Amino acid sequence: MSYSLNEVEATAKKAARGGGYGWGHAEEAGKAARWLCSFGFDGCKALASVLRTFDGCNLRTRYPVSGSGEWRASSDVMCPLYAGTLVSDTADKLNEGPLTLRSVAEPLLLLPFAYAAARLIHKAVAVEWQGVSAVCSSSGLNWTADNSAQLFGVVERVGVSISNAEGITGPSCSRASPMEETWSSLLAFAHRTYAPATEESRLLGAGAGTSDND
Amino acid sequence: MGQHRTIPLREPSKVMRLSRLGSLHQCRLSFMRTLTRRMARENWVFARPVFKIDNKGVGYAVYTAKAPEHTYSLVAFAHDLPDELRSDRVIAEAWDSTFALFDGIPTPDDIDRLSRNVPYQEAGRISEKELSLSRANRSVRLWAHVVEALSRGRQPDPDMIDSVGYLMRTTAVYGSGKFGAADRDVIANRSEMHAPFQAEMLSVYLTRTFVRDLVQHMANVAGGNKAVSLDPDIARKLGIGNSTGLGMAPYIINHPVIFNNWIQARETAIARVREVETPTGEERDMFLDLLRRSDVSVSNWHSEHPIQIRKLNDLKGDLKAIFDCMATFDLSSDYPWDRLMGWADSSLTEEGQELIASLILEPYPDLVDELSDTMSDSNTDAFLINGAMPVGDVRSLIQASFGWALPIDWENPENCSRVWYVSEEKLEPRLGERFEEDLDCFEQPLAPARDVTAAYKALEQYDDRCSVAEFLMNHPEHRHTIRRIQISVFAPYSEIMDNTISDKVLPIDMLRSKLSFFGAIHFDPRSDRWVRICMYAGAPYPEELTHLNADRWVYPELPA
Repeated sequence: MSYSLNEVEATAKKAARGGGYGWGHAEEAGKAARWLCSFGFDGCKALASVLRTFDGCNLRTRYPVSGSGEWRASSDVMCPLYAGTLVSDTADKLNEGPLTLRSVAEPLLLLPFAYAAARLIHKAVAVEWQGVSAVCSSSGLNWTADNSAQLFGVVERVGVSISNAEGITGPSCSRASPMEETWSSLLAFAHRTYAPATEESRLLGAGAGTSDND
Repeated sequence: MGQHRTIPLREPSKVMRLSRLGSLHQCRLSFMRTLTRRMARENWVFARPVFKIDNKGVGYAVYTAKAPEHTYSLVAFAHDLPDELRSDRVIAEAWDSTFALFDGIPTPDDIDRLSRNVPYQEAGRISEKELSLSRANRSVRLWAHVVEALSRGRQPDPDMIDSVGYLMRTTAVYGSGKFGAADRDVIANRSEMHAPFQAEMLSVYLTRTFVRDLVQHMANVAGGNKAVSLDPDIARKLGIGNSTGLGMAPYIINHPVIFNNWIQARETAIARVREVETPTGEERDMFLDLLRRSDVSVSNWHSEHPIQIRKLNDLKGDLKAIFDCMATFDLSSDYPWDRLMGWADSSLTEEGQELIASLILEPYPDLVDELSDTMSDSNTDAFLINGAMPVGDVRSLIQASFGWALPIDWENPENCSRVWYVSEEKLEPRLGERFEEDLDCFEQPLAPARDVTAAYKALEQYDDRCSVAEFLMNHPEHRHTIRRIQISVFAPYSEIMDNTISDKVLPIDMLRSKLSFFGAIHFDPRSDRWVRICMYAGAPYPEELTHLNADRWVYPELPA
């Protein structure tokens, strides 16, 4: 099934909200999933996986905490949405030196934030982890991955730094085709944001009756 | 010769109040007129290659619109809808007619695919080849009357036409990637799609043509040889209605940059015209002519809702005052439009003030029309949060754009009694009573003023020199709000300066503000959160469209 990027963004945003994130991070999740899909990555799968991984836990414990040049979550695995927003919020700090992130879930989700950081500080930002090397700049993305590359799941170490190389490819996809199971997973999370249908809500909430024969 | 006067744009604190936004009138920047002017200017070619409707009024039709570089096709399906199923609500599951706007000319396979999806609307899927999905229901009374009259060899009663204004009304027009349609990005670079909502406006324009053809067809079926053709002058008076509810209200809050661009374009146009020192005779005459024609339009504007009745009385009172004023007002020199706006400010209600603001733009296509290029949002960086911004700057921004909200007691039930939410029932947007229903955890982020006040409080613990990044690290719950505050730096008209969750909020004000930019007229609220409008009433049909009638069709002819 093919989805528009708007559908991806809207569903991803609602899903993240349903997964317990505030609206600010839910919006970021929507944009991040869309960005990944526009570059041909399975952004829906990465997000669905994050939401399932952290479902029900105290999200606060999945924030990056920085110490001795490295970022770790205070408990267990780091959330890439929180790590990502912190990377772009503190983008100027990249000028002082590279970052090392430890134990991050779904590192693909860091890329859209590296791209945001690159736009904010007008420099190219490199992100690398096991088998993967990505450079983001305002002109696009330069991506290389070898046979050992791990695209999904938890990676032990991610490096983020300023790069001299240039991103060379703009987005190439105008649609997304996630697996049905992935999309259903996102829809299930999104569903948590809908209020249950009640007779009262149906009669009063919309300001119109239920038939229009005038 | 004095120095040329520069007129500043009107202040956001004046313009962005809901009661004023709820009093906006269409103007030459409206999306419908931007489209009709272009179609005439570029000599678009229209055709109806398919019309396969049976004697029960069931079947499909295809209408094509050929622009210089692209062709668009409306694929229209007509259904036999039982009366008891007819509803304008999002929760409806069947309609009198359903539509898709196809990007190009559909093949038989496309039509087949669309026939299996479009009639089901949200329950079906469309593809990247489709730009919009919509549906329409009959105005039952007027439909029956027109079919009967024509079938018996008579024209329909002009009073009935005037009182309803449309044979069918759309109840949703979805674009921008919804239900699988092409994203706006796919078409945004096409010159004919650059202005906002052009695909949707084209869809409605062609829908109107289909509706005229369909009612004629049904009359022909009923009357055979006795049936007559609908008089083109009567046909032209008919618009396409629209039934708009809460689904549209969040748009102006959820798209702050876009809404800012619309308002800013209109305010810029107004300021440019106010800077005209000496209008020509032609320009003055045009203004006066359209003022009279607006008066005719207002006399055809009906509603039974108490709020609208009051506003119409205000508007009619304003029109009387305007005509009295025009008897002695000097429009010939000394910045007359500026003086007129100043007079309107102190003498008219907001309805009359905004009518004048729209009307003074009419004689100046060269000053105004190019501003429609500024009304879309292509600034994707607007979404990026600048974490390096000092907290002191954020505080100042809040005081500038939301200073009015800070003293409000947001805990007081009157001030937060409403809650915006989405029902799991067909994802219909609704507005609930916070203290009577258990909806808090489902609340949509549609109360920026309340949220900004909460953020401002949290910011009190932070020194001016701390960074936004530091604040957000500790308060991720305010990320959404900080983003909006940073947007207000470059988008002064991005925020409604009113409480959107108070017990007094009127969502119809939000609906009217957006619909006025579409070019809608004859706003007819059915409740405080549901409104009927009319689109394209008075517009030439495709075969009649010329550069002479493509622009000011929205103003009815003066009676002979």
